[in-house]
Amino acid sequence: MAPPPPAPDLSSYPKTTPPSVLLVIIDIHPLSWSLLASPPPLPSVPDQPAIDKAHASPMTLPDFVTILMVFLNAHLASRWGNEVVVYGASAGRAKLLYPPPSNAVAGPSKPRPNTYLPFQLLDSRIEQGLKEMAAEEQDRLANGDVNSLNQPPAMVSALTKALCFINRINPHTSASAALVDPTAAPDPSAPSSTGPDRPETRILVINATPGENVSTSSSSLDPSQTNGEVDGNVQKASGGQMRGGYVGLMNCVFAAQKAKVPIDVLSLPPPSIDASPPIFLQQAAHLTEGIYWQWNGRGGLLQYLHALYLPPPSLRHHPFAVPPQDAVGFRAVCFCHHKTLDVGFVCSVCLSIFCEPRPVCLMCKTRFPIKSIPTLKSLASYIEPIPVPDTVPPPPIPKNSKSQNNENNKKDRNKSVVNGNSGGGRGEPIEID
Amino acid sequence: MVQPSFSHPRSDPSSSTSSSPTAALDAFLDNQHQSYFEELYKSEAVCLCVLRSLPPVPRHIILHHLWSHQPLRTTEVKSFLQLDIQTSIQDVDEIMRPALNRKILHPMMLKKNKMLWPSNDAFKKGLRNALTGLGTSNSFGVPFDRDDDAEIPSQEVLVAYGEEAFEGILKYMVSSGLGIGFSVARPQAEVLELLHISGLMIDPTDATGQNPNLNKMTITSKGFQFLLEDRQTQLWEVLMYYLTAKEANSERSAEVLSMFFSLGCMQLGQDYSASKSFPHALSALNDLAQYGFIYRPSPDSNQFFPTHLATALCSGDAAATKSQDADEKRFLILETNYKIYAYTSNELEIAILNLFVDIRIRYPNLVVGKLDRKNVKSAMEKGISANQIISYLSSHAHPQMYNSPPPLLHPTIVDQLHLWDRERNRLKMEDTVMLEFFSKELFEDTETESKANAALQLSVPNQKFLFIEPQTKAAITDFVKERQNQLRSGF
Amino acid sequence: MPLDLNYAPGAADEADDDFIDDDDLPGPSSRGKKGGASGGKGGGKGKDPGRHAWEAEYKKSWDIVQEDEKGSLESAVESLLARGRRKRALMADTPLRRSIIRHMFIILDLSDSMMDKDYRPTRFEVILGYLRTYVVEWFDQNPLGQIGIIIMRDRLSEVLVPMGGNPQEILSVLSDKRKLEPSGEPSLQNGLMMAKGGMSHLPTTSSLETLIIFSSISTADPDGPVTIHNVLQEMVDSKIRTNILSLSGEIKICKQISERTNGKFGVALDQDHLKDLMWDTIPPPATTIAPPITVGVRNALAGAGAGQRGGAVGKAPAGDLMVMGFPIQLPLGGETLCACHGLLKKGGYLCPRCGSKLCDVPTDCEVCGLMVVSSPHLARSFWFLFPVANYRVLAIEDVMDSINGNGDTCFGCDVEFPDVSTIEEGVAQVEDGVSPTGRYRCAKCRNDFCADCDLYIHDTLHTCPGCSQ
Repeated sequence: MAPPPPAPDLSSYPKTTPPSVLLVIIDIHPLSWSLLASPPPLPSVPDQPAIDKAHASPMTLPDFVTILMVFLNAHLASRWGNEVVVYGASAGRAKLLYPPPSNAVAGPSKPRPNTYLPFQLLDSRIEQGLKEMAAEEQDRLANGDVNSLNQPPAMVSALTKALCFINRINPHTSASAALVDPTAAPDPSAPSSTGPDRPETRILVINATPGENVSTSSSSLDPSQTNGEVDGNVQKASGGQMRGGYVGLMNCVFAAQKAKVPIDVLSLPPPSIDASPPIFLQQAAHLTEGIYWQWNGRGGLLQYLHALYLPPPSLRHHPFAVPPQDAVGFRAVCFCHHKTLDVGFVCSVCLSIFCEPRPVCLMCKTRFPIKSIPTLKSLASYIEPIPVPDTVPPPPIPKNSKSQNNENNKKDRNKSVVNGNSGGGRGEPIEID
Repeated sequence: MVQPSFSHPRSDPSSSTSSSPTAALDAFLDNQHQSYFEELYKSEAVCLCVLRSLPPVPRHIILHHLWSHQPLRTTEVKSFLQLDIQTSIQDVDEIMRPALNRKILHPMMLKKNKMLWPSNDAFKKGLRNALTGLGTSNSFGVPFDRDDDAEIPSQEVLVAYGEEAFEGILKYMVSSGLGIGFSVARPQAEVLELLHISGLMIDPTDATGQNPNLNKMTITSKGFQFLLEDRQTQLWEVLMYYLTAKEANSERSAEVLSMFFSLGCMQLGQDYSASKSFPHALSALNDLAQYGFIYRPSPDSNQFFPTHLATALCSGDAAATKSQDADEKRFLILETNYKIYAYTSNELEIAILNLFVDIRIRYPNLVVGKLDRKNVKSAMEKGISANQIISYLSSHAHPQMYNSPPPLLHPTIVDQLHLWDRERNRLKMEDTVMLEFFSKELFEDTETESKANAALQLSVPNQKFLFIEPQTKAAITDFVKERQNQLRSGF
Repeated sequence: MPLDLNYAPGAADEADDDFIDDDDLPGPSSRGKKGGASGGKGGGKGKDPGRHAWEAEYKKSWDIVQEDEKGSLESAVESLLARGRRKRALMADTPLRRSIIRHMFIILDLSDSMMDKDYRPTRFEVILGYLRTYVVEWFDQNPLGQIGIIIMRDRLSEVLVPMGGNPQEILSVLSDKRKLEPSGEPSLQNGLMMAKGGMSHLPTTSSLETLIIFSSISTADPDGPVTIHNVLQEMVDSKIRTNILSLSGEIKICKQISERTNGKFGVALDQDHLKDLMWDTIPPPATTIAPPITVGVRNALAGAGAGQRGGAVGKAPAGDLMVMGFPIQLPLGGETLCACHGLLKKGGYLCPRCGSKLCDVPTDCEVCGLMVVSSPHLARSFWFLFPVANYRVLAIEDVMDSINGNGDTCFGCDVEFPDVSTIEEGVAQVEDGVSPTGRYRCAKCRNDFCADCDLYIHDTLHTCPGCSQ
């Protein structure tokens, strides 16, 4: 980071920002929230009394939704023309919660004298939508579909829906490009000037499910369904399994990259519930230049939401700083057993990833030389995860740095109480393994 | 193709439409005292609207810090803005200036070796309550308790009503200046009075300006400029004239102003109870009805509907794009050959266009005209500047014009307008005193003397003419006489 | 030797004349000929059979788009969309095997003919503009590929950009127009030789390709024992696929080259067509070339490669498993030493096997030799492996049947579908591929989508929202 100029250039600060559309995907998987509602006690951090003082705070879905609504209201408040779209991702299904379809009955009949009407509409509609979804879940359980609860939240489905929505309001992909004069826009990097103000969009994923949810677990349930459909074709069946998981998420990430939509990720399960971060969501945030942050389980969510996720993309990086991001593991998932891999075996023809050497590629049916398998196996046996050193950078200003490896922390320790219970700063390291 | 031009719309800051629609409001607020704001910030609607009127950077810093219990520290702002830690306090102060001017933050103070801005508790509380809906001031309007089957006017009716009322005033102003035969109803006396006080219209026969005949007023150059502004600017200007003229008393003034903001946060098509929403500003609310801000089913009813004029007050450009008149506002196509196609049938817009456009053809929904020297210059004589014409043209540009590469208006036309403007300013009238000399020495001596005293306006050595400032006449003639005597005695 | 140094432009003119003679139209100019046709033959023969392409009326692009009776362009737009849809339907059965690690040289003809103004403003400007988007799009779809650029002018060829994987570098070179001023004549032979030389060290498991954008109608090749036919043979031997795009017309030698190297030859009719032809070369080619002879991808199989080579020659396996490591990217914190340059640098990647720090990926780890690849790079190509099935157009009856099954909104963007009952039956003239109900149904998850989402999901997203539940 180059040293900033001594005098801030006021004129370089934007005078206006385009209207901003915030698409929120909230994970409302019942099992995850039951975990969050009764978190295990946090490990004490004896060398940092400021953090230690803040106790583990249970977080229930209604509590969180209240906080989220205030945050969404703040987003609406920060500019006229800002909009909010909310998707709920429950076990195996995703649904649009807000805005309601136009033919739906208008919300509450009476405006409340102390609430800005758009806020009131947003809040009541989200509440209603969440209740509807919860009721549907209840029905599914009542119908004996217990298995459905074991499905991971349908993050990918929600993401695809969000991207489709963005494509509808901001069509700048091939579909519309086919209709304009091809010579008129030989340079796609040039800003298209179709209208005075194009809204900017961003996606905020609120993850509540511990583990590397999107990738792995979706596999174990699907085969029964997909195999039946695709007449037992192994190759395609495995395609069906993967589609909801890793590959789907990656496809979403690339589509978002193309549309220049940042995917912000807020991961709620604190380290005490789940030591490993949702690495694929972290990858998504990293690749789309979004903000990834994991809650430390010690309250302060309202402040964090406002501080980290409120500035629109046009103000991020310049002039506002983005929170420092942790190390990102670029691990992948193998196609055969859906394991998360550090080192894998890749078919040189179709680039499928496998966790063990095999004679024939599952995807493209390429035969691999038998002879190389023992060698590969022996190579594989060397592979064991290495401990990753603590890699969190010190924050630019040591005002409330909580890095464990920060040696000269003694001095700061006493001042680092930020907001009562808001506790650990953003610099808190996330364990990678 | 793009030639270097002195009036390129991007490079020329004066021609850019940088003035915000709430300029009148900003100027008013900037001159108010702390206590005034304390009064204002009792209303959540005001907090919300003031927050939105801040520039993006301070706005987000305020929001960033909203839920913190501690004062905002300069180091925090610096790190959030990626500024060097050595950045001077003044520079950081400058960034937060808009928030300081609105008294959202108190001036910087030093506490325990830390520079910090304590925030205004009333504002913080108001904004928090606005976001959570926990306020108690009823500032977003108390809905009217009506029967469920009561008939309420549709949004279209309200828009039409507001449009008609406000455009009626504008049309009256235009027709007074152009003598075009509009069938214009004369606005009510209070409105005319305000037009007079604000200087938008004067009675030319009334030399003192003290007791004008309200029925014989004509529009002033300020009035013409007012006509070319966009709608939101006009509304805020009118409201501010109203506020300064009618409510000089500051206590009531804050209440009326906060009512304006409350109106801006209301919902079109919803009815509200006047006495419950604004118990202290009922008369002002009545006055606003004359301008079309609110609609009342019957004159003395407690029930009122805000029209789109009111609900769009605080919504910046966003409401303009949402409401259906946004497309109607964008009707102008300007060609590089100075031809203007205006897809409108609005009498008022045509009359305004007529101020500076030579209108050639009129169809039911289309007016074709040409920007020419004669009409533009006559408009400029009325006090309209080139920049105002340009900003009018660009704010009314048809969406189709955005499809061509920027700039929106072709530089040729922008430059020509500026040239015409300068042409008008080519002659400058000044009073002067002319001295004619017969002796060369005397002429030269007087010239150097008057130059030294900054009295010289022009010298014509060939004909030995000097032109000097009138107020220096006595001193210079004294000098001339003295010098003359010296010269004579020298012979 | 069809083309040699004695070649003179006049020869081509003669050839053209010959061609006209064959058509039995000996007139000195087209004007005379036209008069003869209209006056002499009268109405007997009609116009079309005797007409040449250059005699046809100029087709204005705006005439193609037809307004419907309401004066709206909607139907025209829809038919354009439908064209894309049908094209995709054809693509659905393309082979699964595609070469994903690609190396391509773009050989750009920068002869005088590039200044021709038949494309506006000039061929040169148009090609340059297209190339810039092409490179970006190419790297988007082939993140593991590399591109180099060779230019041909003044009978010489020159490597403008060496083979590399950084689109920014290529774009910056392409943006400097002064260095690319066209002049002289091109030499196809020199260009091909240079491309071949530049790719000789690359393993044949990756796909080696050249894309020649040829504007001239001749090539001025060096005199000597080596002719362009020899070079062609070498290209065939080293399995370099050569695609040639001609801006002027069909040229025998070009066609021959691309046919023999399994490439494509295309003549651009107009700007749109030129773009289509260029963009056709972006998706990875299906591997139909004979399987490569050697194994050992880069040096991934460090130990196995040597032992393998001997035995593998006969069997010629098409591919092999590669060991790849997925690194951890470090944040931009403090500076640490990197293993590849030995310099202090911020950020970087950690090799997952040995933990040494590398500056950039993809690369081979300097310490343990593991091929370190960022997994998103691999994931870019996964949509080839898991294509989204085409959606089925829903007729009105279908919707009527299943009206209760699916909601009234698109499953992707939640836009509302038009009410079925209000759709008129008489819209039969709509082109096939366009749904009269505005609904398109995924065969697998049986959810309905709107036309916009259908296009977006298949062209960009490559993931069906319904199937991913």
